[in-house]
Amino acid sequence: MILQKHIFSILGSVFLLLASGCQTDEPVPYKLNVPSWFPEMEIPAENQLTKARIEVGRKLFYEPLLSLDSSISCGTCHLQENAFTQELPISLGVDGALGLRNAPTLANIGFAPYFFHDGGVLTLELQSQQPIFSVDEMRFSIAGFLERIENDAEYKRMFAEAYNREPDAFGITRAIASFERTFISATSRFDQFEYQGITDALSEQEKRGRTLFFSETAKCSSCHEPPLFTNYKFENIGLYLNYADSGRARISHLSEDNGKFKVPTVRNVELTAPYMHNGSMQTLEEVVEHFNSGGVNHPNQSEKIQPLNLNQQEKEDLVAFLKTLTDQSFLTDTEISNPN
Amino acid sequence: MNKYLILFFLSGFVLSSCNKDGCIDPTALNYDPNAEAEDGSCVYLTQNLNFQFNSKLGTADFAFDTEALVNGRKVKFTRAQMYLSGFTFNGNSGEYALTNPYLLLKAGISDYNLGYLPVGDYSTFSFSAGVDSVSNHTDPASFASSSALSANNPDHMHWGWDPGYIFFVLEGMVDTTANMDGTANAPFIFHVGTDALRVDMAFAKQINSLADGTNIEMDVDWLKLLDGTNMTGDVATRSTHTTNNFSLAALMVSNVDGAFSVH
Repeated sequence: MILQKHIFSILGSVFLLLASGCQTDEPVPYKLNVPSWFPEMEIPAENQLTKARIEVGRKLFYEPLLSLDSSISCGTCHLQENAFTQELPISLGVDGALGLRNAPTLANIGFAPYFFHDGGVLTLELQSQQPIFSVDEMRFSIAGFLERIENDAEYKRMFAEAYNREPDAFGITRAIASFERTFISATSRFDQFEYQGITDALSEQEKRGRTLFFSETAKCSSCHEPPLFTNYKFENIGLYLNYADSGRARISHLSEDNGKFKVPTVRNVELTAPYMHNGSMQTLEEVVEHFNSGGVNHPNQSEKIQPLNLNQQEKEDLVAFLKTLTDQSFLTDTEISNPN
Repeated sequence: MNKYLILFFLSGFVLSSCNKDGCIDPTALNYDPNAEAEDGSCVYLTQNLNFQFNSKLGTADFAFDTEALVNGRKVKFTRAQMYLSGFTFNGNSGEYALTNPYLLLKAGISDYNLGYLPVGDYSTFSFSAGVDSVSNHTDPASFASSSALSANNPDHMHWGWDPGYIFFVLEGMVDTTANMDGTANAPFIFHVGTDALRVDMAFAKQINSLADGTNIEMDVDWLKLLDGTNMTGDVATRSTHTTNNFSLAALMVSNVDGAFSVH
């Protein structure tokens, strides 16, 4: 019995000794401000949110050293005042290189099950690497960036605090994803009206537009489903008979996916012009007119896209409603703005 | 005694929930699955297996920015590299798959150490051009820095997109004139990958693996990879990122097996 006692005592001490070699500072967990009417956000177990992770992610998101000529950061093409989009059909990369598609909004991006207009990337962690490598965007490498910050004491301190490691691809990609998960937009006038019982948050015209948006005739909400205003499905909306960009088919190689793109959220849509995967439409009026027309009848076109025969008043009402999805506090939130 | 038991379990709990440095390379002898950051402590079995890849342009030695003929057209390479993976050896002592199966083959660079091959006699070996479908869809940021697949590797090739790694990168300039009497001044670009285009290859070779070093010499003809192409003013004949021009990518890949030979 005495021997047993000693064994446990020794074992215990050894474990304690080993444990004491570890970093003891507890990371400060970060509680996302997800409203009750939103779904839960799934966050990888290996990359749970902490203040330190979000902080270094924020620095990286606005870091031009991630691009070949140190001219472009994530925030260059994803501007907060435009709900993290840019007012260009296609954003420009290093040396003015033309990208592939319209920069999508990052509002509520942490809820998305996959990324890019074609859904070709399954995690935010992987997504954050693509613009760095892409010759049409930052045209650089993580290794190149690591060399640039080799002697940067602040990055070293931040990565040690966030991931208990030196700056590397793992930490960089996890940190950017962490920061982006804090992009929650849920305080529009629509939210006040719909979920917080503030009945005068919408005008009469906006209410008419709302009724139309959710109606069986217009069917807008069958794809742009609240509360996130997307169902994340891939749809062909009959923009062209021949799509220059095959969309989802680029990933699936299936002809029935030709011209299908991920349904985008319409939250903050007032500020995310130009519209469509290629930025081909400048105004919301044009977009509404397209859906009113019923599309060009592409073989893969969604059955939901039918001529709507809306009158001028109804079209204006719809546009007015769409603008109630603008979230002013999201656009000016200093927690997610450029810290530099 | 219960007190100690509690202490024991508590200690274990503290241990498992903390971050620590160690060897994060799964191919190392002292791989520590609980380690989160590499501390340079990895220990490997004797690194006795060396591959020598002699880069060629047809029968000539490979050189960048040097003209050679493909289907009568002048071409010159500015970048040429590919992933090789899944190195496996067969012989009297059975099958052995290398624990470090990834290699980034760069034109003009000949010597590669592939780690440990047990002492014995082998008669065949095989590898793939490309990356196996599991690793191809693994986050490049999650590999140990020592891996050719790691995003920390300055040469690593990945689309940052679901198709995964770019297995082959061939870039250069080509003469696109109709009479093929011009200069190689139009760019060609082959960025080729996707699971479907991995090429599995096998070679016969008597290998007597020794503890102090085993060398395998192969030739790889980069020019051969462009066989059958007719690169003209039409960009689609000389540019593919695989999914946007699958047939051209597949044509290039059909040449891969023939580009490798045991020296």
